[in-house]
Amino acid sequence: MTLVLAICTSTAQASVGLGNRDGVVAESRLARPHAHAEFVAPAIEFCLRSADAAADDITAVVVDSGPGLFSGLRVGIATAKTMAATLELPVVALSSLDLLAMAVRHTGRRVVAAIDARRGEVFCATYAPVHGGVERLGGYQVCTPEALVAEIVAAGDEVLVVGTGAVEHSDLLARVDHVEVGDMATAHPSVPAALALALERLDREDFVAAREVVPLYLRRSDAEIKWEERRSRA
Amino acid sequence: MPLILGIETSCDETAAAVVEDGRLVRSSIVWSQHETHAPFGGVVPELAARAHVERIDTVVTDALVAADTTVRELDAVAVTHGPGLAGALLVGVAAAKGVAVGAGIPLVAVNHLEAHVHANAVDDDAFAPPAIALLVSGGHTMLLDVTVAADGTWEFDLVGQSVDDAAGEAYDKVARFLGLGYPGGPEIDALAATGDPEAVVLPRAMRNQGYDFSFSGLKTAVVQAVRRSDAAGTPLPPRDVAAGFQAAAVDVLVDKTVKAARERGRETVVIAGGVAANSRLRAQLASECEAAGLAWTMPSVPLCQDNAVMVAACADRPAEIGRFASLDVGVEPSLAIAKAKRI
Ligand SMILES: [Zn+2]
Repeated sequence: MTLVLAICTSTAQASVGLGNRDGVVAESRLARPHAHAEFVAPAIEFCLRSADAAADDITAVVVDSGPGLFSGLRVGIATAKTMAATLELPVVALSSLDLLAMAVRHTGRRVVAAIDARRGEVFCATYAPVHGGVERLGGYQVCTPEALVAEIVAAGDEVLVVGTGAVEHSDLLARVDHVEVGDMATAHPSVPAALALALERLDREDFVAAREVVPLYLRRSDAEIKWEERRSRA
Repeated sequence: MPLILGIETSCDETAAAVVEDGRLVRSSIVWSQHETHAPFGGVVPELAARAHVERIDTVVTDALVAADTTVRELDAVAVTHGPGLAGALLVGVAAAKGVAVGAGIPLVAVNHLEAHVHANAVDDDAFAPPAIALLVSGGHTMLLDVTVAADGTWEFDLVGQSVDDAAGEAYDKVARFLGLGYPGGPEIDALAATGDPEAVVLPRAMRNQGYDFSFSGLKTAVVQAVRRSDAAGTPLPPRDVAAGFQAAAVDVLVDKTVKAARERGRETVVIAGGVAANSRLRAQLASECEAAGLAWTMPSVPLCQDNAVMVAACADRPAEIGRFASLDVGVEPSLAIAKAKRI
């Protein structure tokens, strides 16, 4: 049996799964706060056992590289890249926002993926539906939900907004009349979306070595921000 | 005869090592983040976590390659799970679990402080507890009575510790005050070597009071001495300030260590932790142990600083007796030293 291991830990709901062309073979999810570090490795073991497989059956690792919760991301990425590096497996790193949009690719509308970034901001990106998937329009950004709403209003398209950022700011978003807001079912990056995107990339041999995988933070550390401020004042 | 991969990420070094039987070092890779933190004058936890996750897999594979082995030949993977910076520890623990689950080998969770003391057995084949250990670093200053338990693991009784700043913290603060670089320990050590340790006499806090230490007053005394001399128009040469500070710190550390060994009937003294790399501490401890008829052991300088050899060495006996951690083991940022009951 050949299996791809998927690890998604950028939001409050962490998920780990194994799958291949036949779809998801085994999956485990947990949404207990601050539990990513405890959850990921036992979940991999659980999925292997459930699938009656061994780690040797894993042929590639796909990991959610953010943006999202910093420590959650680091747990998923450190586990994925160290496992892949020591077993010499290829890695596919996928943005959490791409994963959210991929999961609702059949909507036929534009999709805005938004993940709660705390501090009154969201990480977000906009996607257009294309055959077999979605295409990202522009870059990943971090902005206030008000700025995101203004952008959606200015674009004027029918749009589906998904992700933890959509759920968190659903009242604000739902006031725009051509906007539909996703619910908890589409709020977190998912194993099926990760496998669907990764299998296609693996077919094209579009993967990286473990050492190239780093979290997509989209935000500098507070220490660096303060340091820059002090320097620009001086 | 375990072959163990050790992983260490509790502070600002990303480290991995392969050690055989707790003593034979097959490889040791340490990636220091000092340059990342230097502009801030101290370790920035978020930046430490970011640097660890960037390099952890490379450091681990480099250690395996340097040891000419693969994860399939390992008997266990050991990782520091505390004490330390939470975000930093998370990266090492996640990486170790990735190795454990991928290679199908057991995981050993290691206490960073105990690992430091274990560094003494790596360099010195003859060393085994009982012994009095002086553990001195940027985060800790402790006197420990180390013994061997029935199962062969080491046990640690806390004899004394700093009531305020750690010794290494005092070094960093004084270095910053003197306008030296970060980390302060090596900078002060080098500057002090050129100065007169008796030119600036500073207080030896709590020298005759039990086994506890206090270092926050020493930093204040340095500041006051420098300001007084500046005001009097006779500024003190920084090299003499560094030498005087180092002499005061080392006197107290060595005095109490030797006294603890004598009073507890231990014949051997060991040192551990980043400050154990300090040249004056090493020289003075050796000469005073000699004078007191005590044996002593010191890890080589690289093994005093944070490294993963000590982590793998510390895990050797637990691995042999099957004391493994569950895959859901978490990080323990304020993990105490085992059996650290006050005596
Ligand atoms: Zn240390």
